[in-house]
Amino acid sequence: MIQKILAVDDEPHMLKLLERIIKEKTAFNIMTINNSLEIPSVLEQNQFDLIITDLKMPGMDGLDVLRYIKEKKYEAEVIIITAFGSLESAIEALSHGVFDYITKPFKKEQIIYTVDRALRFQGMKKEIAGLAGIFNMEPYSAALKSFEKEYIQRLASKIGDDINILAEHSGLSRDIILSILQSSRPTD
Amino acid sequence: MSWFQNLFLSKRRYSDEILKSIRDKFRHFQTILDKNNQVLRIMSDMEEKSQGEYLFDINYIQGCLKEINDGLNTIIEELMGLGGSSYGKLKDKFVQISNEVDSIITGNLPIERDEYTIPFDKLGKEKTFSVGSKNAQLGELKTILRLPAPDGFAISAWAYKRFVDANNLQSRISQKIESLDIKSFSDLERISHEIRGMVISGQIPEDLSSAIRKEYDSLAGRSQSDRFSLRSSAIGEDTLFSFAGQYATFLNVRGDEILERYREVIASKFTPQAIYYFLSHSLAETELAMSVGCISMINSAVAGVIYTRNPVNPDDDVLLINSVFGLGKYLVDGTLTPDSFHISRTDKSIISSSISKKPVKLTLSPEGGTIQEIVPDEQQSSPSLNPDQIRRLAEYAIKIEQHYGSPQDIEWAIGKDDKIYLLQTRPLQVVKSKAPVVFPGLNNLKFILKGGNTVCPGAGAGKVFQALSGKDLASVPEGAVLVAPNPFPGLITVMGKISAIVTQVGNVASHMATIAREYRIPTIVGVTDIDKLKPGTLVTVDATEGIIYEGIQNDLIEARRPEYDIFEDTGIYNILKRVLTHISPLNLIGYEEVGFAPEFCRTYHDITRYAHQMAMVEMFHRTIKIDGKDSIGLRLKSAIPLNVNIIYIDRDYSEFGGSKFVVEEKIGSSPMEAFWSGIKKEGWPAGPPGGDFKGFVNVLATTMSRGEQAEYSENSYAILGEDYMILSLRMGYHFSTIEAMSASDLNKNYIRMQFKEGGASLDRRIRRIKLLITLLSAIGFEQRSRGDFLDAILSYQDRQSIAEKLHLLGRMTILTKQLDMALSSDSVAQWYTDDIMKKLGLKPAGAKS
Repeated sequence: MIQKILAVDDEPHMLKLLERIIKEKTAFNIMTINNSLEIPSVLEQNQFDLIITDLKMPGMDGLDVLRYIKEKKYEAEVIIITAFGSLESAIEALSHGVFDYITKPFKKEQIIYTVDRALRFQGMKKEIAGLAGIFNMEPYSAALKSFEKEYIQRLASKIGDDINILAEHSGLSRDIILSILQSSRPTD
Repeated sequence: MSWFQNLFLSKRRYSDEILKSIRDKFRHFQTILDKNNQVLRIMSDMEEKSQGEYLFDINYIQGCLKEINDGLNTIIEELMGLGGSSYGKLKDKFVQISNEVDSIITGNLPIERDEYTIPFDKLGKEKTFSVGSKNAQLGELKTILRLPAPDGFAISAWAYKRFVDANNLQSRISQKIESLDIKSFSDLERISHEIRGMVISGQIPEDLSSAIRKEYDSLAGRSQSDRFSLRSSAIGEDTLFSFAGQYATFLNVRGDEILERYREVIASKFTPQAIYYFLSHSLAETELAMSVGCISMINSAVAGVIYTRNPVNPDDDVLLINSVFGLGKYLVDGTLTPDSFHISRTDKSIISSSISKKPVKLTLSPEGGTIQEIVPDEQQSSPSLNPDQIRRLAEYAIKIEQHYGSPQDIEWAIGKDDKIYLLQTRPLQVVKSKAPVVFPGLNNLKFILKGGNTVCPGAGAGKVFQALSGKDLASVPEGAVLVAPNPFPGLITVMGKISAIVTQVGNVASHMATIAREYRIPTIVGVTDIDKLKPGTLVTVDATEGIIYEGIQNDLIEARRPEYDIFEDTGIYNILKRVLTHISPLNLIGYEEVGFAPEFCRTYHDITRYAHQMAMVEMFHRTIKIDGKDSIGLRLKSAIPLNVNIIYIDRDYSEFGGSKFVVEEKIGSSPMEAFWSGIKKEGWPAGPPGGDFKGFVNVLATTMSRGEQAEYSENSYAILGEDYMILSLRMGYHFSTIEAMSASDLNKNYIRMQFKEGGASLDRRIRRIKLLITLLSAIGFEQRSRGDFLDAILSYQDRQSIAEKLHLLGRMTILTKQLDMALSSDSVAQWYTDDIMKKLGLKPAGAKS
């Protein structure tokens, strides 16, 4: 699934540049808003993997955004962008779990690299959480079922959903594969 | 400040007053140098940011401008302190430029005073702020590119102001707009209706209406058509904000209706959507003046739009033409699905075409206005353009694109007489991807000659045409490669139609060079053997690499096409670039030239250039004047042809026994002696270095020796103490300032080298900076380089070490002299870097010794 970024800045010019660079140079999706007060409703309606926010904004500022994300336990990572990197705000942001802190103006590579790093980290976190979820399941049969499902879905995403081929590659029975594919189809 | 103490102690002949005076001057001087460096650093930083590698916001630009403004204010104040109040003139210039810059940032462009009406053949793109982009570009197509655009005239923004003022509209309009709740559409409609009513019922004042009538009579007199179109050409339209399709256009207008329609076009500035647009973009309504174009109506058989690039795949070799029968309105407003042709940009052949069914067309009604007509059945599905028309359109389009240097969106019409008319051109927004940098197969091409300096990169091809002087220019054919002995000013008049320029002499900072870059014409100067280019033969000039090939090499031209960046068309880059046009171009070059005066300063860079130069001059002359004799400023006597004027701040001049010269052996300043020993060790370059780049370097050497006399006539300047020096070296087009302290206390010691300006293009200057960074890093300097400004510092070194480093700096100064001109590519730069490192016996920073 393509990872999604939300960029928040009261300055539309910066949003435009961020949008350009993400669209042109990465495979991620990006949505931009220039009023930080819209963040709560936007977060309710969409899922994001990363939030890039300016530090100084009217309404919610960057630290407010960060605190809000963490308070509401959203999974998204947060990158704060600021004009003058004041050490105090950087330290405060760190203490609230910011992923990174970038000082304007910055190079294209810097934002691409940081975004990429954040989204890899985010992807890994999800992966680990998923695995932990399976490990924690009781009884064992439920965990096994869940694992088989995940396993077949991943295999199918690589080699296609032809049942015979999947059975051949996985060594699982065609019945199991069929039931997994049927159960996962509607949510696709 | 120990040298000042020395000064006090050692001077016997000078009175305290004279000493104080020198000290004051020196303090002013140092402040100017400091601030000058600071301002140049910010300017370089902004230039660097404009290259498309950075993300920044408006605060960044404003922050930079504030620092520059503060710096320039100080520089001017200090220069007045140093040289007197006559430098106050510089302040006026500064304020003027500063206002221009502010107007870009705020969007508050004052309405330019101009004629009420201006015929198209007196317009060019520089009139954008007077007649709007649409009118100005039509003028540009007609007068500069000499392409077939319809006849017509612009009713200027100044005329709009006259109309608004005469009817006392402004305050009433502003009041209404202020009272508006932008979120309420009914409010918007009501206010729009009221304002438009005020405009329509306004009277056109007599002087304006008679000016329009007079211009109209003159147009009608030379026009074949008695019908006209009235089109909006608002200030700011088609530029940063598109305002696309927001304002009115009236087609097929009779002469007696023009004034009435004029008012209606003005009123269209206040449609609900237009009001919403400018309010939501925080644009000041008062500055969005409405200019109007009155254009001879083309009764078109076919009309349409050209995109010179595929907007979603701009690297394709494709140009798109869309067309419909009749007037183009049915295409742009979406009434009809047009025919669509994909044309090869290279050979203008049709790659593919899609012919749609066109059941109707819009035509001119005999009574005025337009009328829909049924297209006969048998024609509905036939192509609206024939191959010959397509080819001609494509050729015009490519020409327009080349002229503007960016993809264009062009409206055109073909009359019943098969003549093409270009109705409008504006930048096409495209999504850009990277073009290949390396061009394969380059080695298989047969070249005629190599050499010269790139003035404007890119490649162009055509027939060689030799122009010896202005007389020859009248017969320059379309698309020629123009070869000239020197870049004489008249060349500008043919830049609309040539594809490349090659000159025997010339430099990258000449007026012609600036214009060539503006027009993006691939240009090389300093090509010694231009005789090898035979008139009438076909050649391809690769100005990027300085090579001229036989024949037309279309692949090469494509490969060399300057790349557009992904940020190029964004608002913030646009603002920065427009701001930079008032900041970075250097118009004041030679101190000796007539134009070296405050009134010729057009940019901030000019002001710093002027102030820096005058500060050196004043420091020197004022110091001399203080003494009443030439006994303070002394000339360094050396076989090296570099004029260095020396002022001692801690020496008794009597010891020179009335001589005006200092001999090299007795400089009496340890840092300067060390530096100068390095200069002498290398010696002034006598001839070209040999090696793989022989031909190339030969040319370079020739140009250098030719340019030498003019470029080296300006003095360098040194202020010396026993342990201190500040040496301001002017070499060619760049300055370097080397400041050094070598006292017995190593905590005080430092060498600071600052380096800015070169004659070459920015990429070459940056390459030289990179080369210098490599060298300086190798001897332990820390540096900050921003764009083409280098500021390197080495501190906490003992005397011996300072002396060694200064010696090396002296050698580097000679070895890198004017090297920027030669650094045509990264590999050439690497070659020179390695070569110089070897000569100096240096190893790269970080390498094991």
